[in-house]
Amino acid sequence: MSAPARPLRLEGLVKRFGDHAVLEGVSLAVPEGEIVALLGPSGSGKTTLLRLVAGFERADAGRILLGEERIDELPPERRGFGMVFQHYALFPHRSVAGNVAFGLETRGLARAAIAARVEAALARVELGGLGGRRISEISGGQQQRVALARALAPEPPVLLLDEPLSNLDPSLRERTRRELAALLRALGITTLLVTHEQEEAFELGTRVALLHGGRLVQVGTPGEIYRAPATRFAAGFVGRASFVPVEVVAAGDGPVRVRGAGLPGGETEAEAAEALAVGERADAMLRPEALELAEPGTPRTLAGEVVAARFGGAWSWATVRAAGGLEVEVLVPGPPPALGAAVAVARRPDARPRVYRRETP
Amino acid sequence: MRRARIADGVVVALLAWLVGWPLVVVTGAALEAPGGFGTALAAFAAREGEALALARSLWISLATVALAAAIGVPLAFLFARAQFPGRRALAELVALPVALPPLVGVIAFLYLWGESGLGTRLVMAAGGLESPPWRLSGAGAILVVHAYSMYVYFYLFTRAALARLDPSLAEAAASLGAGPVRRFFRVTLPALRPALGGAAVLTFLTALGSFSAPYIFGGSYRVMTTQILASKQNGDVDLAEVETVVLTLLALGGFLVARRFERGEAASRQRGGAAARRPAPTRGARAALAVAGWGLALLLLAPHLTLGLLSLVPRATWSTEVLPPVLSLDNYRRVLGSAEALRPVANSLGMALAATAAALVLGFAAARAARRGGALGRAADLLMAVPAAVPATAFAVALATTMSVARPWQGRFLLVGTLVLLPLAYLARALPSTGRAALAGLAQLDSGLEEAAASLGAGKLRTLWAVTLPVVRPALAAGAMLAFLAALGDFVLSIVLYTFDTRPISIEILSSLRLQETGLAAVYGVLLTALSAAVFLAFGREREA
Ligand SMILES: Nc1ncnc2c1ncn2[C@@H]1O[C@H](COP(=O)(O)OP(=O)(O)OP(=O)(O)O)[C@@H](O)[C@H]1O
Ligand SMILES: [Mg+2]
Repeated sequence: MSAPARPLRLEGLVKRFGDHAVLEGVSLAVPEGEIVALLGPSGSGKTTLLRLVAGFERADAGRILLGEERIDELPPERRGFGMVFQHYALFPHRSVAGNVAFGLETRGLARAAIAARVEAALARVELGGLGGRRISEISGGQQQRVALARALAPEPPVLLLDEPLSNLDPSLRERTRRELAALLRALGITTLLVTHEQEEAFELGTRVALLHGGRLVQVGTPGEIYRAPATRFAAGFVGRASFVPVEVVAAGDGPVRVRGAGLPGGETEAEAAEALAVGERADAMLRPEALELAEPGTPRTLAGEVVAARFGGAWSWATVRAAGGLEVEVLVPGPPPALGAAVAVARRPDARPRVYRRETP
Repeated sequence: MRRARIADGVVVALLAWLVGWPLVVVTGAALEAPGGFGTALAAFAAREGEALALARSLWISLATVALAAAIGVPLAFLFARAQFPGRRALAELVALPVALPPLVGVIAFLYLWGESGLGTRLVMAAGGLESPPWRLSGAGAILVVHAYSMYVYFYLFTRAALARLDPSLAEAAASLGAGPVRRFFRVTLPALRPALGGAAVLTFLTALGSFSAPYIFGGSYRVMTTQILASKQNGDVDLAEVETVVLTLLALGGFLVARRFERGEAASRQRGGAAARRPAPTRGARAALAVAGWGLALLLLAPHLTLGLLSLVPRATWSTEVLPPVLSLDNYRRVLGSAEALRPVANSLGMALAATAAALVLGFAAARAARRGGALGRAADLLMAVPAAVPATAFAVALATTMSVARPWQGRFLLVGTLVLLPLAYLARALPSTGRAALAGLAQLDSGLEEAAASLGAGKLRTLWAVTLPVVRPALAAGAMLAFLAALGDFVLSIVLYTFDTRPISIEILSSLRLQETGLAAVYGVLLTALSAAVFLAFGREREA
């Protein structure tokens, strides 16, 4: 359906606004037909990176390649990428069909061909029959799909999406996300997508690229990033996790041993995310599903009090505060325990914590 | 990018020459007055007439603000809040005077309430009076006419603010126990404050620069604007220049205050929530409101209706009767049947069209420059707004001073007495309208429309043609309409700068009046009003479409 998919490669992209470095050497490959979700907190440079790829900004250093062709010197209109804007940027003076036709007109297609392809593009996003409407006459969800149809109609080699769902109501967002994921996979188009929501990145992206402070922290499948976050930041940003202060007591090539008063189960073997020396202070990451509740007084547990709870149907989450104010989150089957209940937190036997160097005290 | 900046430089230079330079030249001329500016200023201050004219200008302007607010604000509440038959149509009708030329309003007022005006005769007949109960001259007359024509600013600003006002504010206050009076003074009025402030400054500046009313009704009661013209026509050019500088400085002060208010207003702009729900009034209340609404609208529009009637009264057929005894189309025949008599109409149309077209191009370029920011952008932003601040009389004198000698290397050309000077002045006065409209239109592109076009393969030209211009077109059309109407009905610039060959409609109205041709003057007034209203309504339709 689309033009032959081609891989997109970013090499050492640097972008400064004045003396504020927004991107500090970003290299990323988007293999053909893959959907890479660029995930990062607000201000991490996601939009800036996307705008460099689209051609609205010039990089201060680095290269952008499509297949073997270097494209970072080209103006945006010569790159031929499809883009869906965060606020859609639909042309208010054109109808729905007129918007979708725009990119076909600039390619100089014949009128009949345009009409047919507009129809097809609208049908693909389930807007068949709405071509004559004005932009102001359709709902937000429909506008989002018009924006998508407009970007896809010229069959671009690469699709760029900037927070494509952020302007939708939460109830609509989930459904649209599912439909978008299905559509992108069916098209097999090389896609770079920006989002600050982990769920969106995980559902839409075949790979996730984690951006923090203008640097790529980690690139991998959602599973890889969840199981083995590369940095302390990645661990905290992706998924839910508690951090417990520990001290490294043994270190070698493989796993390290750590010890900490707040660590349920006491001294244990752990995976080191970065090179750690004996005696170094570190943070051990514990996912809620790595912990469980036990009867108070059980040996090798952390005693505490339930201070917050969230009911989730078959599973619930309980936040337990231990002595010294340390809080950990635990996944429990069924309904959560009562607030104020005295409990003990144990570590599931198969769960090995991941440790990170302690950042500034 | 560099090419765009060079273009911006050219635009700023052009603006500076057209708008800034005349003010600089006239200031320079005033400084060079024999004995220097200090002496000239001292002489200015010492002359009784001058200080008096200044004081009168100031107090008349302040009093106008109070009176216009007293009419416009309640009117806005009546039409925005009350429910009665015909409300929507009346609400638009009452705003119409904003589109009508000030001179025509003044003449119409004269025909209604002047010494031998229709309304005055009716009052005399009803009261069995021998002589008119009032004389339409001096400060009182000026004030009444000002209030009559400038209430529209308060009306429009307040109406717009009321429409934007989130009704849940008042509902929240009510839920916190505030009664209707408290809600009005503590919630509604404070929320309207920026709009009222904006209207007050605009009214003040308009009144300060107002020329038609003091010129027609003032007689020996001189304010700054009429004083400038009198000095110029008496050949006292030095004095006229000093007066121009003083009035300009005063107006620029007000203008800077206005820009403040505007920012405050933009910041306090809020999204309207659901429409306010008001209980349906009883039948009796509806009828009373309808009578009040229709009565007020009739009163406010009566002068223009009178003008229509008077245009049907043939020359020298109406002496002492209460109502004109003869009505015919004679006056229309005399104007429409003669190429010579139609000449001013063609002049006005042609000059207004040319000035508007040029102002559109220049205003659009200036707005683009302003949006690119930087020093050039700020200069463009300021320069294109300046003509709105400087009273037209002052600007006309400045332009005449600047363009009265041939010194091309100083940017001064001998244009006085040529066909281009008056359209050039119209162009300068039109810039704030078109420039501001272009800015508003371009702001709509903020959401990335141009980038979207580029991402779909459109180059610079195609983006301009297929996206930028269509998107900004409605705003540009609104600006062009305002510019065109102002140029078409202009009197103030014209009376300083016209030549026999460029005489516009307004000047022809004045000469007809001087020749006691009230009927002819009325016909020109009606033509001008009809043209203005047609443009206004045509634009309204465009806006709906
Ligand atoms: N044109 C610009 N001039 C100056 N600074 C800019 C510009 N555009 C972006 N920045 C700065 O660059 C940084 C990254 O901005 P960017 O918009 O790329 O972040 P983001 O990851 O998209 O954030 P968000 O999730 O809030 O959209 C921010 O600190 C921002 O202030
Ligand atoms: Mg962003």
